[in-house]
Amino acid sequence: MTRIESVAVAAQSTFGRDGAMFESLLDFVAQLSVVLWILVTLTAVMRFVGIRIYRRSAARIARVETVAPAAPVSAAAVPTTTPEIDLVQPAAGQLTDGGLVRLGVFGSTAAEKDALLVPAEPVGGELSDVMTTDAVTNSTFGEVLQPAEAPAAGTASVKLPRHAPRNRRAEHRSAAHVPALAANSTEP
Amino acid sequence: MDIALVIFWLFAGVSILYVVHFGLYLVGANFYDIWQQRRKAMKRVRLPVEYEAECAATATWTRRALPEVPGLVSIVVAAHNEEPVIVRTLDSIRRSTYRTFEVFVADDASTDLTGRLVRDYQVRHPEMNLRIVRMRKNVGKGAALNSVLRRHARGQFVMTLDADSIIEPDAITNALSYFDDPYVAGVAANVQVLEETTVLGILQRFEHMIGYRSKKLYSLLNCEFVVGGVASTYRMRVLRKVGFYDTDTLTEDIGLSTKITSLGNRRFRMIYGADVVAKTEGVLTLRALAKQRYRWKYGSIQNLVKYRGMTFNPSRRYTGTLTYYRMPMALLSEFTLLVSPLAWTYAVYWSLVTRTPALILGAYATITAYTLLTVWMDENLTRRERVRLSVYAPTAYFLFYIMDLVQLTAAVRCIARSRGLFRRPEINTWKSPQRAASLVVVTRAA
Repeated sequence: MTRIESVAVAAQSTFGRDGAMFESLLDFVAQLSVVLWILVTLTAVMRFVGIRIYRRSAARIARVETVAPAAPVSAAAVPTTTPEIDLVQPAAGQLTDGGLVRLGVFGSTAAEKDALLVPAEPVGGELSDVMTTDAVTNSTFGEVLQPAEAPAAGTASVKLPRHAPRNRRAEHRSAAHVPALAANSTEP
Repeated sequence: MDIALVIFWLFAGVSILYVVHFGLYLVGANFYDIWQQRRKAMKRVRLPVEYEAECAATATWTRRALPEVPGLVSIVVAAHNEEPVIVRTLDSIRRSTYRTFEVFVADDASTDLTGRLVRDYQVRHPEMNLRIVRMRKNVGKGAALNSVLRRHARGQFVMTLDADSIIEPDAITNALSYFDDPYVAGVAANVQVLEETTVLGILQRFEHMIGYRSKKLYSLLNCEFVVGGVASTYRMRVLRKVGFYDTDTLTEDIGLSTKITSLGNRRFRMIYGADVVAKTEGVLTLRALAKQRYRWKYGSIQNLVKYRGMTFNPSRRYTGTLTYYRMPMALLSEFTLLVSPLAWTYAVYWSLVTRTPALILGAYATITAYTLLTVWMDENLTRRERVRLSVYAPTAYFLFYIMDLVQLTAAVRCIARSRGLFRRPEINTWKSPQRAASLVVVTRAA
């Protein structure tokens, strides 16, 4: 059987040099491997520690979120943009996180946030609660005075028609109308 | 010129590069896991800034296109003679926890019962928004997907799926959570090979696990451009912007992700979603594996050639990690694959001459430890699966030689047909490989 040492190599003169270089390469790769494995171990420890920290914080946030919706949100905390919206402030029960998400203002899912970026799709009736001020005047959005054009004076607490209806009997009046009517009476 | 010295330095350079690379994969994966947990723990809305550099983020919504339905996910399943597996795929979609989706089966002129099975499924599950779009002739996977996406899909997001793949129930929900970041163009899924007890099955499972783990580093460095077709999710606007799939390469899925990346990845980018789990079938025979890998390699090289302009591109549109690290490494890996037999011979020869088993043993120990770490740190494996795969891990080193051989053969075949790498045909048609489920059907029929 031919021994491996007797196999002729192409460059006999460089054999010793190449052998030494190969061994030095092995040494270097071994040292490099040790360094890298230490690095990997360190980052693995960091991984476990980091994951534990964020898991705990996630659990803490989840606990807070489960408690938070039960508490009513004060009306002062709700951002308002226009006088029209002030008039039809939704009830406190509607101002939970879920309600805001449905409006698409502070959406939590990608779809809701992306919907803000794409051209507006027709919005469902239950999503348009904040714009029901238009429904009172029964006019389109373009016909309603915009915030900049709106008069500075405050509106009356109860809106009265400028002209009396032709058939007064047909008009429904609640008990709330009585003091208002009295206040506007011309009789002494 | 001292040839021996050149070979030595080539060998040394490649060895050191790969040792460092392995280390980086593991370190990157650890940091990715921390980032992933942080993302889940601290959900925040990130709104886009006013100015956008030219990239996929400037995707426009055209009036001609069908309007997008916010929150709707269009799942497109490409199918060509997939009767053994199509029902299982549809079942997995139906079990999804995210309910706002529409499903299209792009039937690329199947000659088997695929179409009939899908129609039967429609009748049995009327609550599922399932439609089948049948091509009159075999047009190729990319063209079939394009046909559905251009004419029928209405979703804000698109998830593509192969007919031999299944998704986990929370895959769509998890995929959509990445789009909370408005600069995410697409999400690559974590594709695992379905449980197989054959040698090839275990080999493919290890290969997928290790390959997809490397994506964690690439995702972290924002240099990922290879997104497979299984359960990958994109924004529809981005797909419209880039004109959907190109049909001139064999791997249209990688072509799409590379095309999106070529628009610029500094801000808008691809993300790897480790929790978007999909499972696919491995191939059964060595011949089928060789055929599959040849197709993948040919397509990958076609895309590397097609988008070669990204390599060492100093443009501000691209991150340095993409142009100076990921792209050159992709090219280099093809080269090192070709010279791997030479390097292996060189290493064995000098190990014998110097009577040092250190290199062989070191390589074995490194690969085994790497495989074990990948198994243990995989967040989607059960304890039982971890134990089972850990038992197989010591064989991984030898199994990877089989894969190296298959890849080398594929690379040589690519060189033999190198003309098609540069002059690409317009349409590439496809044929499904033989799968485990098809054997089950044949056995039942018999």
